[in-house]
Amino acid sequence: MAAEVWLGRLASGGGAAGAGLRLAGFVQSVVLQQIQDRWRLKFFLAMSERVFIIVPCFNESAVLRQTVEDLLPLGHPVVVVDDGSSEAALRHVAGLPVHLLRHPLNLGQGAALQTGMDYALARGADACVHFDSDGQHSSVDISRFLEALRQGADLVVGSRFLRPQDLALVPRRKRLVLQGGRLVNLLLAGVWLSDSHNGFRALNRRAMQGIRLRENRMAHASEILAQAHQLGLCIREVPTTIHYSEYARQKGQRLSNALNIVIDLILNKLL
Amino acid sequence: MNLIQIILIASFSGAALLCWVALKNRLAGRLFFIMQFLLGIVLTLSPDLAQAAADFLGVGRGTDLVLYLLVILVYVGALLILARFRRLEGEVSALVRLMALRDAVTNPPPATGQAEADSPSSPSPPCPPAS
Repeated sequence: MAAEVWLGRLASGGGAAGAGLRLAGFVQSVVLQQIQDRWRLKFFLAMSERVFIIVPCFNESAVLRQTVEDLLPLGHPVVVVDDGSSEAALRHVAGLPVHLLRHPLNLGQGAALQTGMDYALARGADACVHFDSDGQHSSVDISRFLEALRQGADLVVGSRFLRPQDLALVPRRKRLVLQGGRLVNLLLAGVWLSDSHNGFRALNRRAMQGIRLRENRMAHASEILAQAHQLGLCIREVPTTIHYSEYARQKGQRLSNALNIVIDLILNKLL
Repeated sequence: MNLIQIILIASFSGAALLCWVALKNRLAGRLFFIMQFLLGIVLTLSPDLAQAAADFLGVGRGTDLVLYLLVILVYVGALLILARFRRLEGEVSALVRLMALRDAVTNPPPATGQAEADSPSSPSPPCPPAS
């Protein structure tokens, strides 16, 4: 786009010599930007503060504090996005060194993640990790996600179906619904993965810049895949352990919501 | 003219007027609704027209044809409203996101030994011995 604007200016006037100089300057700046991006991508792990961990939350209790306390020793900045909770999440993370964003209204998890990614991008993030606040994800897994990013993936998605010990933790009925989700992802996003609707993800800067979540609610999990597929991003899966604690089970998605997600996705295709 | 024709034409005209006023600056919406009301008035004035159209299309009764058209129009209208809802939702999200980013809070990092040494609350240097 920048090139088009520039060419437009070129056509509208200006001496040939000046134009040539400007062209040289433009090419130089593009090349420099490319080299900078490559370099940052390659070494972003060395500068660990450039990986932002985004924790969206809505009406979480003490579990939020526990989750954040588990994340802090990793040394990455943690961004807590309070999605319009009735009681401010601020109280639960008081005193912890985190970035806190608050939606004045409840919009949904997809919207909260997008807000977190906007914030991280504005702060020069090279990558971000989506991490659920209800304690079902394990902070130990994050290093494996970042390792996959370093090996060239643009989007890394967690999967409960890659290791038998992870699969054993998934309730039987949930497995069936997730299999349906895989099929939906194949039909609507064109991506065939071993798991669906796993909230544990990592994105590099390229993916963060390209993906724009418009699905405010839970359908964002498929939307991310669809957009990544459209953008031609490299998607990788990494095994994760999901702890279905009593709390997470109560907070988590009800099975009947699966239908809502599919309807949201179809509407998004149509309208 | 029957009484029902007068009632129908009056309500169609009233609804059309309401649409014309309510849908300011939205030509597509105005045309969509005004066409419907015009069709309604025409069919009220000459019911045989609906029967003729039904015969032409292979529907038994004129009333049935009108009913089928009604069903389709209701669905189109519902979809238009849904599309508008989604657009509004997107605008609200953008606004809320802007507010969230504007009001972002960064909690201070926990006090380390270094920071404490620099802070004014650190113990003052020992007093010089009294002479």
